[in-house]
Amino acid sequence: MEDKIRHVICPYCGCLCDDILIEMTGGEISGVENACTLGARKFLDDAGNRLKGPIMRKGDEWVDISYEEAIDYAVKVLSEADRPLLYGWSGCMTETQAIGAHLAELIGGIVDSTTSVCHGPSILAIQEVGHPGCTLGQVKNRADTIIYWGSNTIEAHPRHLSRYTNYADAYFFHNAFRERKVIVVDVRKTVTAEIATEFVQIDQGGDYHVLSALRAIIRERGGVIPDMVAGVPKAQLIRVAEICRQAKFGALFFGVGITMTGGKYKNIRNAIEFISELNRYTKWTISPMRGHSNVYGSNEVFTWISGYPFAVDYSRGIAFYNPGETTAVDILARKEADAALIMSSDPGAHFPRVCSEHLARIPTILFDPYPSATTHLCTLQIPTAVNGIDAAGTAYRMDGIPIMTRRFMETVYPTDTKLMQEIYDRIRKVKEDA
Amino acid sequence: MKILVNTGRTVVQGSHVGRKNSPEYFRETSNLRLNPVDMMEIGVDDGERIKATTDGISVVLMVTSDEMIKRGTGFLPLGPYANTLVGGTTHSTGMPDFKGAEVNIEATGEKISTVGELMRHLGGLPYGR
Amino acid sequence: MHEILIKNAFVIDPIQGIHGDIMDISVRDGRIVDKVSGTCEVIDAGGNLTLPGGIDSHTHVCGTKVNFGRYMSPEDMRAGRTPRRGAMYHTSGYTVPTTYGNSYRYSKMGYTTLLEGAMAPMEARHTHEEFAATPMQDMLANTLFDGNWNLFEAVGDKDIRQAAAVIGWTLSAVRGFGVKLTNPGGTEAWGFGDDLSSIDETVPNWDITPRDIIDTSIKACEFLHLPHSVHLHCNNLGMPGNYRTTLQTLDIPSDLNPDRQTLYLTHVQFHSYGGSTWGDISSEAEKVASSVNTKPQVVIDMGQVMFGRTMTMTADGPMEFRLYTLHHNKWSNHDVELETGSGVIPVYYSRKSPVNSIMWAIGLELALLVKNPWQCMLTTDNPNGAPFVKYPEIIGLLMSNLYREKELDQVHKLTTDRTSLGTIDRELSFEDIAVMTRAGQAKALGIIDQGKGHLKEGALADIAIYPVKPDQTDPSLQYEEVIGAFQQTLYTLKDGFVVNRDGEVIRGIPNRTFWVNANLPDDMDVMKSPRFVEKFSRYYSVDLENYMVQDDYVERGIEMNTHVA
Repeated sequence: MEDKIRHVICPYCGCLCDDILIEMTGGEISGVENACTLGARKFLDDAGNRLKGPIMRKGDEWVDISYEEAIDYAVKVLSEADRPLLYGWSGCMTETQAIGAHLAELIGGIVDSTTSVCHGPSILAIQEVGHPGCTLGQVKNRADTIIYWGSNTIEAHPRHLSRYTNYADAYFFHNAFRERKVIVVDVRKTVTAEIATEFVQIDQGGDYHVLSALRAIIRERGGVIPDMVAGVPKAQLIRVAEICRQAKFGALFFGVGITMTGGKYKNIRNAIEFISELNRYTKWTISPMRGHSNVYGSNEVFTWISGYPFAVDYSRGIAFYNPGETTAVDILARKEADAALIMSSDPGAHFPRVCSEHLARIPTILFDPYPSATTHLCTLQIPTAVNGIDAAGTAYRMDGIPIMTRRFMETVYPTDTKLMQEIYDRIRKVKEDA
Repeated sequence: MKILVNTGRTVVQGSHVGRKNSPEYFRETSNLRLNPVDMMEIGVDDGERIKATTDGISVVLMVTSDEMIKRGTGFLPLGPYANTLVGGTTHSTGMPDFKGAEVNIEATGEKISTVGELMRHLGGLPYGR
Repeated sequence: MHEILIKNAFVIDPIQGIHGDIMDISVRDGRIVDKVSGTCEVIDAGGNLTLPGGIDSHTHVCGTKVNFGRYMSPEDMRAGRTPRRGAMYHTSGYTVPTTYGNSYRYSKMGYTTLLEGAMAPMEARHTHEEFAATPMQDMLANTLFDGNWNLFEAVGDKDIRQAAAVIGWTLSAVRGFGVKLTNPGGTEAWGFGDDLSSIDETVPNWDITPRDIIDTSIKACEFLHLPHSVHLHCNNLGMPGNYRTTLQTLDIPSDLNPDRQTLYLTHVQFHSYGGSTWGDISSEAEKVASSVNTKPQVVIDMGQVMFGRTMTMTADGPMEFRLYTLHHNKWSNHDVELETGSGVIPVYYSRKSPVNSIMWAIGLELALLVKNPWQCMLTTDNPNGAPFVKYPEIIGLLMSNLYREKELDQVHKLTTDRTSLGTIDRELSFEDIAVMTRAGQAKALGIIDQGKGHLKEGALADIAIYPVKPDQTDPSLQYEEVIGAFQQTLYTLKDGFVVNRDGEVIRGIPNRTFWVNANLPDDMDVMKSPRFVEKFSRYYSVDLENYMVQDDYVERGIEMNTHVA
């Protein structure tokens, strides 16, 4: 018994490739076509890797419990908490994210997504200076110049180049690949740097300086620039600026290479202003390389519900937003949260140690189909159907294009949407009865 | 020796985020890439171990030489090992200093913790393997 | 069975020709009926103004660029916050409120139907997701075609049937309602950083002009028998001297439809500028209004500007860039491949600025100089000219010459020389306002038969009762009371339930999305055209199979089926 399912959406990264072909044999995934290594592993490693059911830490033991017991526990912990943190969400579909935002509102909690540790600083910059962007197909059809800045695209978003930029078919070029220029800016000579027409290697933390220098050259104030800026020779900066000005359509993509380093959102602000200035001469756009499949969806949903893209604190009834205070890392590092709901993400692997220590100290409820680093830290883990495999819903691509993922496998697992709705309804009832 | 540690995604790390307790994920995320000259200086070869320390916190890692890495820096794929070396300060942005931690490295014979053991040190209880 | 009897209502229902009679209204199961049983819930309207639920025929409340306005503006979110209360979720925002903020505030003003002015087909799911979170109103989405390559090909081939095939397929595929053209051709030119400055300029890389796009789209729209006409945001928005473009555009359509207009021109205030620079800008509202007065085939909306802070957002990407170079404030842009563009920037309209004051006056001039209220809808192009919560003040200005004179005294002095506002003494009546805020919209959108915009037996029981007694009020003098009344209903009913009472949401009713399913003969099915399918797969960045909006997004959709001639 073999089945082929076409046009499947890959739920791995923000590229949301929607041309995946899945082969099923005997109800299990047996083959994946068109996906990159990361996406293919996501599909192929699914079988046999999921938790069978909810597990709960009781003293020095892990015990299996039923979904009913798990939901009872979650309802109790969340409705009794004073400062609950509801974190993660980037692997959930928007339908679940919306319930999450309303749940935070209901219990006076904090809702934050993985945004705060990936492109949170990009959003802070956008809130200062805006965001000249576009959809990826606009780049694919028009761009003659592409910059990857602080993004090792070939390893982090492997199909970005072939679907949307350098190697993609373009309406306005006969032979797009030959006519396009790719500039890579990074502190390391990554595999992405190896395909660049121009590789700009900068000193760690030198992004802000290099961007400032490029802006000065674009504004014809190149005279003030020293011979070397953060490890980059002036001659190269002038050459890069000239390529940018000569472009008919340029697209800058930036990764967490410049959101995580010193300067944080100020780096991004500088990059955006560089692009805004280039638009006085020619057409340029700039876009963050969003990591998780639906991290952008979480920003969209939280925004239309609360007004803010992430880090929303409902402890005073109204929606309050102050990244640096209401962001997950800060709430945990300050040991403020007294309960945590972690939705399909892995702070155990990705948060600073002090945050993980605090998660181990408080009731932490983890929704994740698979065992992760956070499994070892949590009190309760609830496995759900996997979004994009046996659960479907809306996800937003890194450029804001909403796509409905496909459910192509039968499942015995409940979806996170269903469970969250149940938790929400029950807590609402608890609150109303009180 | 003091180095600046950078972190980031790699294909191997990224391919195993659904299997964080697998040997592949363990090997990849506990593997620090160093410039070969720096390795000679501290006296370690490929596959040997170092202890990385910052802010009084240490973690044991395996090392691999990589000529693409500049001297005085290192690259450690993102994951729980890298984050052991990251503090909780975000400079009021929500974003910790994931990249560019200043770390002291020295050769060691100590064993590398598994992901579960790392989490146990933080107060967790390893599940399964 | 759920029944309500509204007694003692001062009803103005222009579609039925009720001009202010005291009467009772019976409601059963969401519809207006002849009579109800004696035991039902009774609302005493107390002789207060009772109108069909308000309809906004051009507003930006849901979708990609609206949400980007919120996303980039925490300062605006802080400017309007309410906590969760009763049946209401919390809200944030003033100029671009959250979906619930929009929905509750419109409901408080008696609005029960909203048309989102600009939905990029490729991002339709986003608009529909936000529609689902706008619980107090039924929703419609105008769908953008201004830079649509498939349409361009049909326009280039002068093939109206093919253009209709593309439009019909797209509307059905994205669950859209009407055809929106925003700076036609200009948004495509902006793909390479250019714009167009005339309706006869050739679109770069395409052998067509904006005039061709407008003309073909109008004919295709009529060929498809769509409920609404082409809805046009003219080229050259916001440019001094742009009234010429507007007049030329007004001359394009002949009268092709007996039931409604053939062309809807939106936010015409932004398109009625004389002069040649910001220094000598003046009003040409008289010329534009005169043209409209001779063309029953045209309906416009005001796009009134009101003073204060707001957010501009439009598919007109190049215009937003020009605005950015003037204001140097934050600038967002979002081009959508093969379809359209968009931009968002915050602005502050100051009464001390001659340009802003002239803009303010032009919107009012248009509403007062267009003789037939059925041809001029009351809008601010929310939030571009001002957030919609300013509508009541606009009503006050249109109904009271005294109020206008007082306000005119407060604005920049050049306004008196450069506009004719000070010379107009017309005062609109309650009936004019009823036309310009619901009846006219229902007719212009083609949704009278859907039970919108009137209180005939069988109509949807969407009703607004405002705390003002028209037969005892002189709006000319008591404009403050009129403004207050339109800011907050006594009761807003939707689908036969009281949903808002004295400004508080009582309950939500699952809302509807009206969308058009344009039934096409087989030979017009673009999905059967190898050229269409091949081009789609080569140049779009999503698969055709993942482009079409699933029914899950319009669970409560009202499918309006149309058939070609």
